Parts: sequence; C-alpha cells; structure tokens
Amino acid sequence: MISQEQIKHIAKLARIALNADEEKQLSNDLGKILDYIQQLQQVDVSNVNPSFHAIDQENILREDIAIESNKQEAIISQFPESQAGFNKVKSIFENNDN
Amino acid sequence: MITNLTIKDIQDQLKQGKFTAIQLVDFLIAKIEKEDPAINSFVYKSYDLAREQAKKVDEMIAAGKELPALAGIPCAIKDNILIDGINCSAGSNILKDYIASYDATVIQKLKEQGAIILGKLNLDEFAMGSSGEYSAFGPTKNPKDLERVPGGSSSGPAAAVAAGFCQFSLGSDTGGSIRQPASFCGLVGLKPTYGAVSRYGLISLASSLDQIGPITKNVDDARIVYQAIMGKDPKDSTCIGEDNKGEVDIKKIKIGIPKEYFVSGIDPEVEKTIKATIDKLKESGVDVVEISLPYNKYALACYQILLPAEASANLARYDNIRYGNKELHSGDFRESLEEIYRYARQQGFGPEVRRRIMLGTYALSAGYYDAYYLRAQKVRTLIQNEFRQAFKYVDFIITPTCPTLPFKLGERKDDPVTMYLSDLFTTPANIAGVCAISIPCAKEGLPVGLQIIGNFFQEDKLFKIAKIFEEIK
Repeated sequence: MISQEQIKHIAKLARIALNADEEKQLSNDLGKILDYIQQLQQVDVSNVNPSFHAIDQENILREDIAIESNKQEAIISQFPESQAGFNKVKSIFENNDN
Repeated sequence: MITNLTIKDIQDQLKQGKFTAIQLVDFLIAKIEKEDPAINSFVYKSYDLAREQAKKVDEMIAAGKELPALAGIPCAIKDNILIDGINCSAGSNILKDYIASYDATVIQKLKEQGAIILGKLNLDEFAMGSSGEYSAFGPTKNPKDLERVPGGSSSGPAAAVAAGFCQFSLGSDTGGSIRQPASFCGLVGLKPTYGAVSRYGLISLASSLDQIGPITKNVDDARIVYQAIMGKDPKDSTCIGEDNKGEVDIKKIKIGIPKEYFVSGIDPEVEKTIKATIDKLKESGVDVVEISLPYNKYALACYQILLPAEASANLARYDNIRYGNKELHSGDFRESLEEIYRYARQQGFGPEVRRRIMLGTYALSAGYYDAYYLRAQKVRTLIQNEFRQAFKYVDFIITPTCPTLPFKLGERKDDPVTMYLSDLFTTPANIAGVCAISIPCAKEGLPVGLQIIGNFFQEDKLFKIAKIFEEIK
C-alpha cells in the first residue's frame, strides 16, 4: 500500500500535478500493482549479477564532427512560446535584490 | 485488390502491368476513407507522400529498372516512429502538435526500398497498453469483430493490416506489443532480437526492451520486411544487427514446450487450439519435448518494474517547452516553470501513462532502488540464463502468444492488473532479449496466436520454422 502522502511526494518528483481523486486512485492502483510485484521477493538472487541490457554492450565512440542542419525553422515553429527565434520560458532564478 | 496477395505477388503484378502503383494507392486511399471510420486505425494520413512514392515506382517500372525489395508495397507505421515532416503523437495529447524533423532509421530504409507509406497508426499512449483503448485518439476496433479489441499497443498496425488497408505495418514491441495484437487479429508479428533493428527515431518507452518489427499477413512478407529494416546502425549503439543464417530440417529439429505456460489462467479455447497445433506438428514428424522454464513465471513481475522505471526516465523529457501541445501551454498563468511542467504533464498524459510514470518514479526513488529495480534486474539474469540453457537442448520454444482470446472493448480497461496479464507469455522474450514470432493457428472462430521463440539473432531460422508451421496448420 502506498499512502496518499507518498503519492504526493512521488508526484512532485515526477513533475505531475494531481487532484485529490487522482491521488486516491493512484494510491489504490499502485498498491495493487506492487502486491503483484511482491512475488519477486520469493526469488533467491544471492550471487546473481544484474543484467541492465539484453545483450552484451560496449561503448561505441565516434569523432565529434559538426554537420549542417537546416531544421531551425521546423524546430522553432514547435516551441509553444517563442520570441525572436528564442524559446521563451519562465525565469528560474529568483531576484534576490528585491 | 490486394486482399489475398503477398508482397511478391504485388510486385509481380506491378511488373506485369496488371495495375500501377498509383492505382494501388488510390484504391487503398478510397478503402481507408470509407472503412476506417468504423475501425479507427489511422491517426494521420500521408497520402501526398504515398502518391509521390508510387509515382517514382511507376517510373522505375516504365524504365525497366530492377525493383528494390519493397518497391510499390503499401504500408503504414505505428505513430511512435518518426517520419520527417509528419505528425508523431505516440497516441498522446502531450504530443498533439509535434511534427517530426527527421526520419527514423527504419523509415529511411523503407523509403530506400521503395515502400509506399500511407500514414501513421493508432496505439496505446506511448505504447503502454494491451488493448488499444489507452489512446488519446480513441480505441481501435478489431476488424475481425468490431466489438472486440485488436490488442495493443500496436492496435492500429494490426487492425490496418487485418482490414486490408495496407500490405504490412511496422509496430514496436516492449512486452508483446507486436505479437499480442498480431495474435488478436489473425496476423503474423515479429519481435526481433534486441539489437537487430535500429531504435533511432522510435519514441522510447523502455530502452532495454523496445524493438521495432513487422506485422504482416504471412511469414514470407514478415521475412522480407524484416530483412529490409534490420542491420547495424551508427545512430543506435545498442543495434549490432547480427544476422545468422541457418537451415531448418524438420526431421532434425527439437521443439520445447514449457510446461509452465499451460497452467491456470489460460482460456480453454486457446489451450485447445494450441494443443491441436502441437499434435499436428508431432504427426508431421517434429520432435516435441516438454521443458521447464521455472523463472519465466517471474518475467511479468520483472517487467512491471523495469518498464515503468525506464519509462519514467524516458518520459521525463515531455515538459511541453520545446514541442508538444500548444493548448496546454500556460506560461503566463503559472507562478513557476515547475508549475508549467506539472500542469502540462497532468493534462497531457492519460491515466495509464501517469500510473506507470508514478510507479517507475517510486521504484527508482531513494530507499526503494535495491528492493525493486536492482532485484528485477537480477531476476532478469536468471530468466536470460534459463533461455540460454534451454536453447542448448531445443532449437525453438513454442507457447500460446496470449492466454486469452481477443476480449471485448471496455472489459479490462479499468483494471490495470488484469490488463497486464495479457502480456504474461510475451514479456519473457523481451526480458531475455531473444526473438519471437506470433503466427495465427485457429481454423475457425476468433484468432489464436502461436508464439515461436528463437535464440539470439536466429531470425532467419525462426522464419523458416514459422513457414513450415504455417503450411502444416
């Protein structure tokens, strides 16, 4: 079971606003899914290494070469709010002089 | 016009001049416009692109040029794969206005091979779902029975091929999203080995599980499309594109049936059909043996941790600041940037996507990582080892694709745990990374899929055995 307090905390981490009904529903749904997942606790995983991928991987490096792109217009036109070719967002630093 | 044709038949008839590529495209456009409103498989149409591509193919034929493998073949694409200049929504309100600015590697390959792209197909939002009902564009219906779901998350790709709107489609499979809808719509669906097909330009769900693959009407078509899209790609470091060739001799191969797949929870109709198919195989002289894969039963629980965890990280990028949905932008009304994110993500994501993001965030949060994510990755190792061991003893493993028949719309929508059970038999192949194909095997009634699982990068042999099974049944 996940409490509504925990749900509030996770929602903050996940940057999702929730109303009270949604919080309640999620606390219920997540609880049920976690109950199902509990079965993994039965498995003996001592001395087992985790597999983060399905196949063995190695780093692939390549030269850092600049290539031409003429996509600026297509990309800028998708900004929800833009000004003079810039993406306009709310300021994130507080003004301490005030 | 193309209902019973294969890719090879279409190309033969184009070359013989029975119809032109442009006639084929116009025929299909008329069919989609007339019949798709009842099915809802398309979310965006790219008819201009299709006509342009068809014209090029007709010119090649007129000039007597050699045709590439997919020249003139009409297809459509799951709407989580990018096509330059065309909308890509991933079935989500948060990407309602997004227009892709480049081609996915698979799209570039399809274009090079002369395929004709008719549009983008419906899906469960961000490919999270097993019924097609979790789409911001409304549910897709199963063309075999309009009261039933086509499966998911590649709901549109399966429905569009089953309805005869296109010859093949591309879907993506993270836990069964190609195989389960192929099974529900009576089609062939391949999940390639992880690392066989480039994921560049696929909207990521769970990066360690996702693969793009074909949905087709028959095994030969699936092989042709797979050959066209697979291969190493410098733009996806996880794509190594190995391609092992091998012969399949029906008298020499050994097929394993894992006993754990025939326990409680499986629909009697599915069990009966699969067992009848297995009997047919035995009669044809195939050596069928019972095997045990005891850790496979934990694959779904493992998936229920790994998928949300990876998805919560992948979907963090959708903040509606650089692209997304202009109507959800609330810049002037909010106190802070964080409030803008929170509002866009509340309104932009549907309930299932929010549920999985929340679960994944929880599983990765401080204090829970070892208990959930790390433990699931360890169980994953055990599942992988179990497959490796099994493939030392048998050549292929067969199971039902899905424990149930196609269910009715609305039947499971509000109960996530029951919905997730649809993925019970398909998730092990994703967790392990091996390849698997679903082929239809019901003679009458609702479709039932038979899943054949092959070893890493053994697609060539998988197609050969699937072709033999297709002929036997």
